Amino acid sequence: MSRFLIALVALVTLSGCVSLNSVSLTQVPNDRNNLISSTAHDWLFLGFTSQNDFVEEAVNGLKDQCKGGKLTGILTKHQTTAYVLVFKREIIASGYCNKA
Amino acid sequence: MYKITLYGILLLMTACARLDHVQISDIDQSQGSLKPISVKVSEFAIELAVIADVSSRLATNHNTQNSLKEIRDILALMNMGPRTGNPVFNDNYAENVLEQLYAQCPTGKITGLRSTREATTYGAVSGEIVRLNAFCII
Amino acid sequence: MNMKKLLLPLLAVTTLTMMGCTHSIHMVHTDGFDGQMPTASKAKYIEARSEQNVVLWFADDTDYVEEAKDKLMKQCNGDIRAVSTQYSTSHGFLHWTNKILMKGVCVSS
Repeated sequence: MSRFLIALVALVTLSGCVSLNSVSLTQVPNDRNNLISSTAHDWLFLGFTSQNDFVEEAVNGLKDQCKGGKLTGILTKHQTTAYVLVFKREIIASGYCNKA
Repeated sequence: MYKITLYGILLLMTACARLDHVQISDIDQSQGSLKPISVKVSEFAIELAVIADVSSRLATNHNTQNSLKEIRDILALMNMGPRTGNPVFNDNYAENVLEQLYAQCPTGKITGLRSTREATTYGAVSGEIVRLNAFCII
Repeated sequence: MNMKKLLLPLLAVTTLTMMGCTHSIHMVHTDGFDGQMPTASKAKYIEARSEQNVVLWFADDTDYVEEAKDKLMKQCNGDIRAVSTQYSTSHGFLHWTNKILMKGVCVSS
C-alpha cells in the first residue's frame, strides 16, 4: 500500500499542471504555406526570478527562421507548468513567414 | 449591526482601481487627423466565499458562524479555477466591444488601439471592466 | 416552526441554486486594425471557440489555443484582419473550463 502511495505521489508530482497565462494572435496573412515556430523556457524555484530574458530567446528563434522575410499571423502563448516547488515558464510562438 | 455598517462604509470608501492587462497597438498619424473613440464594458463581480467568510467573522451566534463557514467552503469548492479579479456571472459582456468601437468610427479606419483589462474594486465586490480606446482616422 | 432558524438554511439554498457558476475574463488581445476595413462584399466576419476542461489543476497541455486558431483559419482563405483573442475561465465544482474566443474579419482577395 505504501509503495502504491509513493508511486501515485511521484506520478502526480512529475506530471505537472499546465496553465495558460496569456495568448495573442496577430493579423493572419493570405499565404500560409510556411509555418515556423519557436519556444523558449526557464525554470523557477518557488516562483522566484530576477529576469525575463527567455522571452527574447523565443523572438530571436522566430527571426532566425525568417531572415529577410515578413513574419505575420503570430500566435504567442505564455504558459506555466507547475511541478510542486518548481515552475517551468514557457513562451511558444508560431507564425507565417513570407519572403517576397 | 453597528460593525456591519461600519465595515460596509469603510469598504465603500476604499475603492481601488486595478489593472490586469494592457496592450498598445501601432499608431498611424500619417493618414489624417485622429479622433479618440472608446468603448467600456463592465460586469458586476462578487467573491461570495469572501463575503461568507467575513460574515462568519462578524456573526455573534456560534451556530450562525459555523453555518456561514460551511457556506463559504461550499462556495469555494463550487467555483474553483484561475481567475483575474472577482468572478462574474456572465462571461459574454466583452463579446461585442469591437462592433461597438466600429460603430463610433464612420470612416472605418482605426489605429492606436489600446486594450485594457481593469477593474474598480470595493473589497469582495468589484466592477470587472474591458476597455478599448482607439483613434478614428478622419 | 421558528422562522429565524429557517432563515439561514433558506438563504444558503437560495444563494447556491440561483447564483449559478462564475466566470472570469483574463484578457482581450486585439491586432490588425491598421488599415481600412474592406467593403462588405469582400469582408466576412468569422469567429472560433475552443475549450479545455480541467479537473483539480490537472492539465497536460494548452493545445486548445491552437484548436481555436485552426478553426478560425479553416473559415478563411484570404487575409484575416481585426483579430481579437479573448481568454476566459468558467468556474465549477472542483473543475473549470478554460475558453478561447478568436474573432476576425476575413478579407477575400
